[in-house]
Amino acid sequence: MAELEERVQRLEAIEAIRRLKIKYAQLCDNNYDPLGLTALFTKDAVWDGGGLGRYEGHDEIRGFWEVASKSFTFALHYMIGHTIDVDPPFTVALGHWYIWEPATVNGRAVFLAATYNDMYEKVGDDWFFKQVKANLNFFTPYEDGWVKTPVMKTA
Amino acid sequence: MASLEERVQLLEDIEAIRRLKIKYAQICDAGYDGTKLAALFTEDAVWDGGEEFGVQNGNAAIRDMFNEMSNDLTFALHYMIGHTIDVDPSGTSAKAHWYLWEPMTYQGRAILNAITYDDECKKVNGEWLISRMALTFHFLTPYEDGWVKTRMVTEG
Repeated sequence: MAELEERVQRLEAIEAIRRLKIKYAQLCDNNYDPLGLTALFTKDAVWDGGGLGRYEGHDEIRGFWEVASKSFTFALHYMIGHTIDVDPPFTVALGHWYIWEPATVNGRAVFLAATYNDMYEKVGDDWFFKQVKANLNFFTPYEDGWVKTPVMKTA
Repeated sequence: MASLEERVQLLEDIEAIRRLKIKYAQICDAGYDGTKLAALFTEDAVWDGGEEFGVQNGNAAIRDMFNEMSNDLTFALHYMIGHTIDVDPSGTSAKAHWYLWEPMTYQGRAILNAITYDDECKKVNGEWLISRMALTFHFLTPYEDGWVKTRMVTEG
């Protein structure tokens, strides 16, 4: 590949993957649209949220989103400080993100802080999630904060 | 398929529009200088603060609103996050969506503000300007309360 073409493709891939993650955020914040979110994943994708569960393939992943909005009735996914690594032939990529998430869970205001380790795969002209691994930093009621209650029980 | 030049132009336009929004944030956070903020908008720009804060039509009205705002809004940090910028094929107009997380001090109270923006931009004489800024407030809550107890400080 010509060198300038390769440099531009890398920047385009980074922007496309960044957009994919923001679309994920927007769909989560729109009541965890199950069909919309599942369509962002490859058929064999894994969503691994540690304590929030591990889901593999479209059926399990969609099932997770269908349930999520019942407890998370409000959320804002602030996706921050991304690093996206992608090399020729620009068909797979890795990403790391910070998330800051105010949310309402079972009627309580909470702050959720986590980081993501993502794997992405390009199928045709579009990028998809192959793996999303969420690493929780804290999940705390608004009134408490992360020192008093680092991880709240949701039951 | 777009030429290499066109593809690079698109990436440069996205970066320029991103910088425009960050400049808006920085001027807000330096005390809401209305003249400096109005300079980021087109002459006929619209600022739409929704039901809670109303609509300002035109550059002068926008300038005056920001100058007024600085009286009550004495501290703010505009964390502009998670943008998507779509530039039209013409390369002279664009739409952008942003998330805002904003700790602020309003009438002496610490407030947490969560907004999403739907913006439109126009390229005028080679420079990107904001032609429309529409705010959706998700919450504007006193720090002591949180958004479940008090979603909008402006209500009741």
